[in-house]
Amino acid sequence: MAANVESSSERPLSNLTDLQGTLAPVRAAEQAAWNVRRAIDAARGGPIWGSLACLVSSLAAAGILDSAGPKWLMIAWFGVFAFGLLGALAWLVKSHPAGEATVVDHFQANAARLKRPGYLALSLGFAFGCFFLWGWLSSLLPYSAMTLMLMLAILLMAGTYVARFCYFWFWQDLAFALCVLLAWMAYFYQPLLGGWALLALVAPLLAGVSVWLLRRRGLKLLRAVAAGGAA
Amino acid sequence: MSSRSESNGALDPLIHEASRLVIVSVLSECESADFNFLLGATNLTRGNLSAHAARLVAAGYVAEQKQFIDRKPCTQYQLTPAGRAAFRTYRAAWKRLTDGSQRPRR
Repeated sequence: MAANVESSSERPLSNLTDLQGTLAPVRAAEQAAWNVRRAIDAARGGPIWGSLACLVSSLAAAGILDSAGPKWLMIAWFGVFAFGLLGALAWLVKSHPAGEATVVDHFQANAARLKRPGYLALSLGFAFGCFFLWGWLSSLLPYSAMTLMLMLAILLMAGTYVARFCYFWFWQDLAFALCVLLAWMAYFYQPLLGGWALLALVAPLLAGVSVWLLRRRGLKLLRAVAAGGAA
Repeated sequence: MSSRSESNGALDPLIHEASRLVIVSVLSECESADFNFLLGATNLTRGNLSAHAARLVAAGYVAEQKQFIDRKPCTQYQLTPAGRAAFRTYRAAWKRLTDGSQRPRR
């Protein structure tokens, strides 16, 4: 039986003598790897990226509320979404796909490493470093330059989501890009928009719903991969 | 002909096999995966997966960890650093090879 398995499965790929014959198994392997990458990203990476979109767009919404609404509402608003990101990270560390098969991905392993004091200190150090750098730059550079830098950062983030959509084909990534752009454009053009700028509050909510849908979809995809179905 | 043989030599024969290639490709995408997940992701039969995984383990490309979860045996596989390096080299060699074959020779 073992010999049979060995003889039937041992099919060395014919290297250059028949490149077309070799391409098919290589492409099949690439496809299988992409299916796994896509399912894992939807289940683990997607929610983290989505929560980030949620947080970034809620930052803009908080800025709008700060000038157009009561301060406590701004703090509550921002707190809910910061808590959401922390929740997504905690879920990432613990998460396993439902079902009998288990897979631990790089995101999960890295997130577990984050719990170690060294990694945590490094990450917090980086976050605080960025915060202080921003403060230092704002005292150094004119307001227009800071606004330009912020706009570039927002465009870069939205571009990342569009690139992710082109690679993974999840509509949720487009929704994240739209949410970030919507909230920040409303923030930048608040004087022109007036009360309409408050519509930007919809953006983090939309991002939050998209995160939830992506998480559900990702878990389904992981189960499909484990069951041998196409992801 | 001699240049073909040289290029041939650059491809690791242990990875350059349809079943093992798909196993290594899938494992390269995750930190570790159990037997059932690999079974579904690679679409191999249990016997084939077991035999090819054993080869990769013997070569030191894959680490195998057997444990019991809820009294059920669970075998977890993970690419070793050597396995990841070998796969990186394999992919680079494969890219060189296909780039060369698609370009007209001068």
